[in-house]
Amino acid sequence: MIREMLTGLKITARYMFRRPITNFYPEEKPMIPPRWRGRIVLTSDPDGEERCVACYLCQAVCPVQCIDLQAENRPDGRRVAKRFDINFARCIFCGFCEEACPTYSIQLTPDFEMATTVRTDLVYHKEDLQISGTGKHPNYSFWQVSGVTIKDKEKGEAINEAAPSNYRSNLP
Amino acid sequence: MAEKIKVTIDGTEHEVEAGENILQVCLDKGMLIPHFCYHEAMGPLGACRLCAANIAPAADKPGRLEMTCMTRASAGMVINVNDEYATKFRKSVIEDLMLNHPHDCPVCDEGGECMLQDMTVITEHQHRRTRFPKRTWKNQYLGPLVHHEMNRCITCYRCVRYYGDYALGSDLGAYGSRNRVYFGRLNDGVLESEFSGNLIDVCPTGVFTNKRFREVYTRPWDLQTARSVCVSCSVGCNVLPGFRHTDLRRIKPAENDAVNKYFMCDRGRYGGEFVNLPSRLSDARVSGTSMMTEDGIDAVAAQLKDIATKHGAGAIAGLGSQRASLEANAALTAVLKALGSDRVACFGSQADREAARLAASITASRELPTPSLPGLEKADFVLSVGGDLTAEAPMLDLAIRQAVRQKAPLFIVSPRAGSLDKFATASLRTAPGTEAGIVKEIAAGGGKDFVAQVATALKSAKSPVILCSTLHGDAALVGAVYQLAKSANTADRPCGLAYYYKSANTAGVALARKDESPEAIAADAKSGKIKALVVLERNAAAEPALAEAIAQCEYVVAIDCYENATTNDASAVLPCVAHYQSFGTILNFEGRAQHFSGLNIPGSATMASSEVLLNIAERLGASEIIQGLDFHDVYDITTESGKAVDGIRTGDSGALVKSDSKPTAPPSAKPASTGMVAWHIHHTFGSEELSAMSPPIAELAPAAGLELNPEDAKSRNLSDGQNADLTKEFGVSGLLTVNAGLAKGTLGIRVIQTAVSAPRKEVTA
Repeated sequence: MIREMLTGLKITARYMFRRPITNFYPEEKPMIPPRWRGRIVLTSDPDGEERCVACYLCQAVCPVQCIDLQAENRPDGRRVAKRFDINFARCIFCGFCEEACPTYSIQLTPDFEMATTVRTDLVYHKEDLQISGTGKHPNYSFWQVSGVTIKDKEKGEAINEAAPSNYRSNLP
Repeated sequence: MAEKIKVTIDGTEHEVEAGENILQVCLDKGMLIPHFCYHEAMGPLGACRLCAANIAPAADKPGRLEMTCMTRASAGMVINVNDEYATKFRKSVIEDLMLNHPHDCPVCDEGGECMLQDMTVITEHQHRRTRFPKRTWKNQYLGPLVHHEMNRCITCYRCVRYYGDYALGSDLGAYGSRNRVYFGRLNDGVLESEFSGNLIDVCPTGVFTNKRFREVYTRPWDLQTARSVCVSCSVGCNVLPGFRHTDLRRIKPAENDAVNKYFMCDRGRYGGEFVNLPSRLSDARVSGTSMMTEDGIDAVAAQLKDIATKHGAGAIAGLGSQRASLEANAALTAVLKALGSDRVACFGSQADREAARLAASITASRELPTPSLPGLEKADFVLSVGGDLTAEAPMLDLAIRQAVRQKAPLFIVSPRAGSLDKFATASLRTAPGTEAGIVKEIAAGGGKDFVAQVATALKSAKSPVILCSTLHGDAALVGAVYQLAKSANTADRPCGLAYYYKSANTAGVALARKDESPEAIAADAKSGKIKALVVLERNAAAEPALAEAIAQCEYVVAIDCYENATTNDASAVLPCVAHYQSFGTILNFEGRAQHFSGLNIPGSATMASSEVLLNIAERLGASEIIQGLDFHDVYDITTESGKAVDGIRTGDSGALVKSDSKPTAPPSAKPASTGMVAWHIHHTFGSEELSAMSPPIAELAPAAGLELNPEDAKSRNLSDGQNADLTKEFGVSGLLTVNAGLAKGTLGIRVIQTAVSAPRKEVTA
């Protein structure tokens, strides 16, 4: 019996002289890996325009159906989300939406501090989600590689596109 | 019936008809061979080279790569779809097709129902290996219905084969050569065809997409859909309306072998947006106070009961609806019966009523065969009398174009040239009211010129078809056409006869056992004999015969889905859901009963009009009346037909109803008037009440106004573009268009529904 007590005391004594490992959160922020799957954001093109083209793929792939959006055509030819809602009370941070996103718009960030006491506050709208940075893919711009016309980018002006053909001519 | 033979497909023996298209055989048997250019309605072309398989004429002979769509089945044939070389070939074809495909699937409206996406996944093509720049094209403006995005084209030629060869349109073509073929119009402009919307379904990629659906885009997999029947005309095409959130987003054709298969007209496809109108009703309104529908029903039932006890049973009458279901109209009679009345009027005028009722009774007597749409396509003689098919029953027009493609002679007798006239063997322009005489001449034989030509062609035809309009209230013509068809009908060459009507369920209400002339009801309402009118889904206040009666009647109950002139003036308004959210049964031009169903979406009323009326009847203590009410009590159909109609489910091919009674004798033709006769011109876009409220249809609708033949205009000193005042003679005035395609002695009055009705009335909550 004494032996057991001494074993226990030995462990206590050993930890007594070690440095404490307590993290003083929230005063001291922990180091979160950059590929952590936390709060979802909608990123922007290198030229500052929103990247989301409202293709509905994140909504389709979401296993808990926490994404709801509605597309809208902007006068400049871009299609954007008129409304983009993510219900973080339901989100399981699986990252499928980021994988499905064809324009690198939706990205998960290393932010996990979203706790609130009001449930409805966990429904994030477009203005809460949209950020002005490009996130993990600094140089990609969907509109510059796609064949759709937008303001200041006519047919044939996208990356790797030839000038528009003339259907009235049979010449090579 | 072709001879049955045996072929081996991928190691399994199948019995097929000799000479059958192998691709179609495989598709029918559920084996998906990748393909683009083949379409059942348009046949094979062999343009896309994707449906290749290894085909050997016999098991002991070597096989070779062949296009399955271009190969006909022969006995002993061995087809290897999954042959290694064929699979590789198909993959390389997709790789070639994808060379110039733009990188725009995320913003492409075809995504989710794109054949190119499907075929690319099936063939497992993944990476674009070439580094050459992509070919690009400029898009064209094709009008308010179809969006053009030419970069996505894979040159399958489906669009021009549909538009030009199938729908006989002339303004969409293939231009250019080699790997630079362009599909579009010669110049930007609105597509002329009334069936241009089908390009969207026909195109396997996103070159042609729905411009309206694009505006508030949603992926097709998110749409909530309930199979329904189109409400835009009397053909009754099956449709799939897609809802999302609180709105109807788009309408697509649904396959029904007995009616339409792959196609529908633009009026049906784009005319459904009346469902989304801001003026749709969601609350009841009783003497200016807005309330829940249930409370409104209570109030209306109490008020009606009060009037019935105070003024007697005859003081209440109903106005039935040609666009409401058989059930709703039957429920209206139940309500009236509960109040002791049996006075209903479903039509807008006595002339319309006579013509439609005679036509419906002839059709329901089943004395002569009524051609369905697939039957019409096989006709070898077509005579269209009295109206403009393209405007009044568009899909009949498309069916007739198929008959014309098979070299069937087409004859048209009508006061005004329509878009079908350019395919007619001969057409006769004649003043309204004189058509019956011409039809009689044809029936009598002899005659000369046009009459002789039609009579000769009719005699030599094996499956002739005669079509007649009932929209112009000419019962004498309906009767004359019946006599002509009867005389041409023999056991070995049946003569098909079809009448087409104003609204989706006109053929149904025309068979109602109890129906009065609207003039009689209007007169009694004006004299004060009728104290209350129950108006079912009908803008009666906009009908000339009833407007005054509605205004003067003491108590008007309007049941409708949107705010209109009638609901604005009504003492009580009860909301019902719009057609595509509603359910019920309607009869199409053949007397085919079809069931439609709908979805309840937020932001609108919750009850169908039939439910609203049944609720009123229940409040009146008429449960027994409702229980004992069968379709054959209300409508002039046999007991068996009544049961059949009861048993129809949504998506069935429906039941052709049969009537007990013989067709009534047609009224004798009025003596042809020597002066000018007014004729209502119906347009494909803008003349039908509900679809006219849809923004794209309103955009395509011509301006309201009058039309005159050049000679008539000259004799009256009127010229094109002038404001013609014919109030004295005809009670109309308007902008005059001089039209050489209008018969002499005809004053054409364009029927254009004013787009959106009166604004919503302010209500005190």
